[in-house]
Amino acid sequence: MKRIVPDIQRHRHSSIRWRVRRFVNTLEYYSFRFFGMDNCPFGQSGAIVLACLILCAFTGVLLLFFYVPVPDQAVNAFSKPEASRLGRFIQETHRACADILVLAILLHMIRIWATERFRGPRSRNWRKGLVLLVVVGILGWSGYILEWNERAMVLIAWGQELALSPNKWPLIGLLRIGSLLSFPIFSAQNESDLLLRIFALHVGGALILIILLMWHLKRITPPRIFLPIRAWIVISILVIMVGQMMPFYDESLMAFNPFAPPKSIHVDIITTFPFLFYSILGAPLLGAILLIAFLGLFFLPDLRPYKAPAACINELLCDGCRLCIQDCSYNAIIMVPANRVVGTGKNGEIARIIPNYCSACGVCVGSCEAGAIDLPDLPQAQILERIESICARGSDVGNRKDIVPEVVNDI
Amino acid sequence: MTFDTANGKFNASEGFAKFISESPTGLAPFEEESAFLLDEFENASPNQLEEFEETIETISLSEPVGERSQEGEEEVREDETPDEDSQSFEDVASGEEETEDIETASEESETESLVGEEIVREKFPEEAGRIPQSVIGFVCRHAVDLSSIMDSHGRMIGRSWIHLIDFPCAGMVKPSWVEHAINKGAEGVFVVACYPGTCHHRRGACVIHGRWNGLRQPSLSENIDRKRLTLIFSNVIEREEFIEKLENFLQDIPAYSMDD
Repeated sequence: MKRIVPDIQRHRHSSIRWRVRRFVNTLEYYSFRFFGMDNCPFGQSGAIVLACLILCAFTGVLLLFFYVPVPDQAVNAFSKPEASRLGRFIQETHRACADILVLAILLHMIRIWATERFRGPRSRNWRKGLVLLVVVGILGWSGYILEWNERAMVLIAWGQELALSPNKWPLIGLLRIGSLLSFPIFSAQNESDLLLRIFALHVGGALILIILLMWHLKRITPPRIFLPIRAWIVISILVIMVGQMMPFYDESLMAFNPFAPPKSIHVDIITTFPFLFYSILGAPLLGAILLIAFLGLFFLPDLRPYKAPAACINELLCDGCRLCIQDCSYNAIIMVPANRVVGTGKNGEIARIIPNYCSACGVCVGSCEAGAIDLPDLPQAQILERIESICARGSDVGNRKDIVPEVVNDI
Repeated sequence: MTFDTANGKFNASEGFAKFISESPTGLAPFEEESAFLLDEFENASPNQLEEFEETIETISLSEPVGERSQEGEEEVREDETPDEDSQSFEDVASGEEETEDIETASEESETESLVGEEIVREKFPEEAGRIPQSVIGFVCRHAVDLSSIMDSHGRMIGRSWIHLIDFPCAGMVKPSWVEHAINKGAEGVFVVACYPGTCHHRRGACVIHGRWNGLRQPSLSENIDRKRLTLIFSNVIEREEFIEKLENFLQDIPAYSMDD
């Protein structure tokens, strides 16, 4: 029976991709050795992202007490001398948390890619993560605009050009997709309207992000979403230190004035660095590159598809012990009333697998004492047959003809 | 070559024909070594091959197994290095002066016997007089680089008595399979899993760890001989460490008596 071997086993060790993966694997391995299983950041990269998001949301809610989305009051709301020191502290923490969140997301993506955890049935979560990354990018862009100064003007101009860039693409431009993308925000009539829309995008987008995150975590059971207390303390201290040591507010920046746009802007590594390419490539080309990059990552799992057939349950054998549900890491097994399943004649509940959620890891096979679960490409009968054939050969010490012909054939 | 089970020594220059004619396959005592040599053949350098041919008689597998013609035996004897103290086939088969012959042969071909003994001690765990049977390894595909340790027949490269069965996750391994393998006569069983926390499928390593130590159902029965089992945590980059852990396990396996 043909068995599906994961691509990881077919790699040539000299390839660049294997070397990168090996490097990440090495980092992961030694970090686990150093930090231990519970504290290692690699093993909890997703939980770190969520922790940063929770801190962002918490500080964002606190900022609502200090920030008013009105142009006159939003201008350098936290950087002007009369601004509340507490408000500034919270705002810097919020900003640092957001920057660390983006870094954590990128590290999480790299780890998932390097350890091949994006293939097969887990490609769905990979794609959901990409959507989350886009939403986080939009939130970051809108967040920096809320300070409503010259930097905000530049970011608005760049964002508008980028949103309108599909209108300038050949053929696709006829569909006027850019106009559709830019309409919700950039159709504002005045400064107040624009600021309010950006504010709504930022706050509302955060709520949408939380909903999308629940969608992302839905297939992971039980998700290790909460870090240990020690990790929370470390991340909180890190965020505060970064916020205080690397403040992003700039008192020299003038207020938002559409009649006097800035002639130049300081390019920093966090806020304006990504748009450095804008001045080099131009909005249409940059937009096309970003779209191609997104689609490339989105369809990356399909380049070398790894299709493992989902596990299947023999409902006549299932005794409803629920051990498979306890051991499943992907929330792919549910219990259904047995009397609703035609032909079983049973009472109580029996397990049923959700094929779209199943990653064919086989852990449920190992947990089922009744032998009701099987992987189609690696059935239990085949494994037992292999065990017995191995033991049959080994027990016959003086007569191992079955081994010798195989050895001969290897020559 | 002869393999003296009493003394656990190889004699490289005597009694070759005896085993050829007595063993059903003709190659029974040398199967493991043959398999090892053939497995290592591709990796051996030309110098290693020449050295091997000089010190040990090459086993010819082109001839029918277990069926040696008289002409073949004569050819073998003609190829042997003449030795004044070496006994003829008939003398050895009759068992006369066997001990004296072995001692003499040992003195005369000490270098050759030591080479053979080194091979035996290196490749056969524990006692040199015990031929290993089968050891089964249930291996997670993500915990070790299978392409570097497993051949096309599912056996470990260089250790052909170790049979590997690979799984998408160590959590798929049922304790009943482990017990079944031991009950069917496997000398030892080991399971290789990712380090807990690094499991490719998130919790498989923790699951197998729980089953192994009775913390999770289904778990290993209490009656099973734990000395023949081990759970090895490994990583794809940890090839040498994995081999070392495996070797430590193999050395600790209680020896089966020859009567078992």
